[in-house]
Amino acid sequence: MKIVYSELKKLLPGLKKTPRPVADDLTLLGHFADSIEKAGSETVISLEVRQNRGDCFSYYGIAKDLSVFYRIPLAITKINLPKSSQNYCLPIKVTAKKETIRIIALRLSGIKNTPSPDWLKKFLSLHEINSINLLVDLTNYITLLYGIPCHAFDTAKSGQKLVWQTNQSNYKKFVTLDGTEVELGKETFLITDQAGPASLVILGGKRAAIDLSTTETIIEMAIYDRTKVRLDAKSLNIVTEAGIRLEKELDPDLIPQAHRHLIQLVLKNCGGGITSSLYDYYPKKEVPPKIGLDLKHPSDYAGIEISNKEIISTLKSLDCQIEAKTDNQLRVVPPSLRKDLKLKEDLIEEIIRFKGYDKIPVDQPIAKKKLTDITPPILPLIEKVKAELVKLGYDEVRSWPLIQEKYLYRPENLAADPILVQNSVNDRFPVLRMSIVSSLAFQKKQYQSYKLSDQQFFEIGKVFYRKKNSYSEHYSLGIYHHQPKKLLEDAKKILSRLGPKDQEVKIIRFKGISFIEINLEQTLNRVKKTSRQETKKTKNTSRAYELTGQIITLDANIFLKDKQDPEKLIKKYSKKIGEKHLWQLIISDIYYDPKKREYKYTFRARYFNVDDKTAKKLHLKKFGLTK
Amino acid sequence: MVKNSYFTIKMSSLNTFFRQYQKKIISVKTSEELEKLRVEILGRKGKISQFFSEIGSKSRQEKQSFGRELNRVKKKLENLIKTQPIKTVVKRKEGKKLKKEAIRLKKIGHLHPITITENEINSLFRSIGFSIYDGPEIETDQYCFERLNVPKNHPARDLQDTIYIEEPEILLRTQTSSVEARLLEKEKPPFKAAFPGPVYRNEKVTKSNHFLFHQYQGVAVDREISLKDLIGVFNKLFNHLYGTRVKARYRCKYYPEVEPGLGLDLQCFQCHGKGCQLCKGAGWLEMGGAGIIHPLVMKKAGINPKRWRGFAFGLGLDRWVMAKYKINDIRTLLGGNLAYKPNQL
Repeated sequence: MKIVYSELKKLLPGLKKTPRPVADDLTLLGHFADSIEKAGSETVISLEVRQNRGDCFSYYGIAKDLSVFYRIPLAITKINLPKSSQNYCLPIKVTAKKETIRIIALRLSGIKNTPSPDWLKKFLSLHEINSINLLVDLTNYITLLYGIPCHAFDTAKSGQKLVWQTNQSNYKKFVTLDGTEVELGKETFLITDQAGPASLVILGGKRAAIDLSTTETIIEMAIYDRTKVRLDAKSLNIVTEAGIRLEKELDPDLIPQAHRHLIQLVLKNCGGGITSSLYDYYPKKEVPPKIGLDLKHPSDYAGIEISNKEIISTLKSLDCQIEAKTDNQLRVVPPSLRKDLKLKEDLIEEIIRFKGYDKIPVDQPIAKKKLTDITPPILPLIEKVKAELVKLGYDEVRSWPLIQEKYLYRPENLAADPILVQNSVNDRFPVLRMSIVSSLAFQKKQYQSYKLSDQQFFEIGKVFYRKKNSYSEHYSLGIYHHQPKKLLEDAKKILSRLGPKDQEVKIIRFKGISFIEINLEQTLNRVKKTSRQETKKTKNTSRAYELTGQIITLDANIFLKDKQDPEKLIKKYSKKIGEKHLWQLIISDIYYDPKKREYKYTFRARYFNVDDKTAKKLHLKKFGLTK
Repeated sequence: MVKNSYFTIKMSSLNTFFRQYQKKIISVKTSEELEKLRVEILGRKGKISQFFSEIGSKSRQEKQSFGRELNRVKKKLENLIKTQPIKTVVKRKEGKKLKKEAIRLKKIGHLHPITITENEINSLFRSIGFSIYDGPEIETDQYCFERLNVPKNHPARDLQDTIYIEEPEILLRTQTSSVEARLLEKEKPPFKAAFPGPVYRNEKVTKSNHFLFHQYQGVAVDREISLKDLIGVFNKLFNHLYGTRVKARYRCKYYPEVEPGLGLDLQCFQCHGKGCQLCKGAGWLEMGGAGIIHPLVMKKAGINPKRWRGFAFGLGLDRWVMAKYKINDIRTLLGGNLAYKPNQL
């Protein structure tokens, strides 16, 4: 939701703060300001509205919050419209009674529609809405101001007999304002005229659209069952400003004010007059809840003292009706604008929100009270296995449990089926792994493509399968070592360190690679019989890197008169090259030349995240091989 | 065989040469001496080469005769050098190649950055009495949404595009709050538990989006829980991870499963509030959400909200980890091109 600061000030004439602090305050109040932009002489605050509050999609709702927070009045003038020149009742019908909460409509005749004035075009463009014509633009303006969508029909095209109905499979297609043909569902909520569907409730139609030749219009404003609106929007795959608002709980009692404001603006800007009596369909007036509130509770929930005076003042500013039940108990009736206030917790949030979350101290965490340890035993086991593998020089990888079908490995002793997902947008990865080996094989391929050599890594994660109609998952450990003999040795070592000596370990061959997989839930069952020790903390001094290209390997010969400790030499040259691009340094060969009486050390340096040319330059320089 | 004067003279000197060097080879004591002798006899500019060079100008017959003898002596001396007991040691110890295998520093193992971060946070929560908890990744609609106050067709479901196994009931969990729903149902209050884990969303995998990411969730249920307890925990966590100079911001935020709800922001650790690419100019990074557990969530789990109150929080770990490890592509975090330097250089 974009808020043009000058428009906000029209509703809050007492607002003295500049846009930046107002944006910060709105963020604290729950309307996250993700940007403040200058657009010519205007400042636009962009708010991320995530609330369940429909009023927050309007200037009115946002201004109301600020009026409570700053304790300044909200300027809403009561509008009186001229009386209708004709005693004409609009022949509107509502057959979708369950889906309709309130509709207000009025006919205006003799209007002259024109392109919009600059102020209106500019205002809409700041909200990224294209200007269509004056009448349509005014409906959009009012939607932004009050958060209640409205719609105008050209009666020359639609006639007067509008019907709010669900499709009931009567119509198959509908052409929207922008000319898109939409396939209608069996239950799509429509506004029809004698010729068929004139509008969806979330988007107008092309056939009865307002244009510059329009001289008579029916202007309606309505609120519907939000679940129905949401279902329609989802099934038709249409996202509109109207739909976004109508999916929230809106205030039917705000409709008369918003509608009057729109009619006033149309009469002022397009001329003409009211030629029908007001159509108002509002069969079931909503009764606001009566919420009991213990005056101690806001303080209890916040953890700070909030006085009774503050509580009552905030509730009154919100236009709540308050009745004292006892000294400490209130009965609160929230205003119709705030459909989200239903429980005492909702009121408590309002009280704390306007008090300010920043008033709550940050240095008093929950007490360290010792409670029963409910940690499932598999978790310490996993931690221990990881620590042991790291000690043995293995790197941990984490990969995607959703895999490509060609990587699906079915464990020999598992009589189960793989699980396919139904609707993944990543259709190349449609199946959940049944074995961790699938992920390791994929990882191995990835590492190979980066020319990483001598790898040894592991992964612990869930594997998934279906047995008859039930779904199962368990933690599994997968290990890879470039030397299969060492792989087997290490796996046995791990199990013997954990306790179970009877758990079978065997090499699995998949995609020509050797792996080991251990079902950790089975390990846990065996560990239970033996002693379980506390896991020591694993030190992690080295860091993980995001490889952006292949590893580059270069050799260098260094001639020395004396024999030297190779490890010290590796460290010396590593330091010289620097860690920015050096991945690994080894001595691949030591040769003694008796004739020259010197030792030749052949270094093999591996460089990362650097291009060939730079790597070579660095290599030659640091090994002193430049001419 | 032609026995001319040249041949006789040269053979005599060759025999003398052989006897002299045979003696020398037998009496040699060190590998260095033997190697020196080998070069002196058999090297490119050694004695044998000298003999060969001397016959270059002679007749073909002379060359053949003396050459045959010279090769015989050369072979004898070569064998003698080879069979010297000391010679074997010399070859092994200081021959051409002194090491059969490459020499490298000890291979160091590494935990994944997400595990390291989870462990750090786990350790902090353990220190204030939290258990670490866990739950299934294949979930039901009931635990992932309904019990968390997100009924079917609730707009909040739009924020979490779900991957279904059997639509609409069986799915891959979209949030670790599903573990919260199970925890509330299973355990008897009071309890405190934290649970890291992967969650799934139906999103295309790109540089900045993934169908899999990681959350860290926590729950505490006791008699008197307040927002002060919750905010205090977060402050402790942020200080633990980033030091005491870090700035945090707590603001009202809507989540269906909590009331009151709050959002947790951290001043951007890259630009320190000035605004940068990481924080998209905001100066703050959204770290997650929290709040007092909604009474309906408690009721659905069979906990009386009049007797017990709880807080819950959820943090997104991936962005955090990516910033810490300077990872630009979210795909890197899970497999692919995340790698570890094999040695401590």
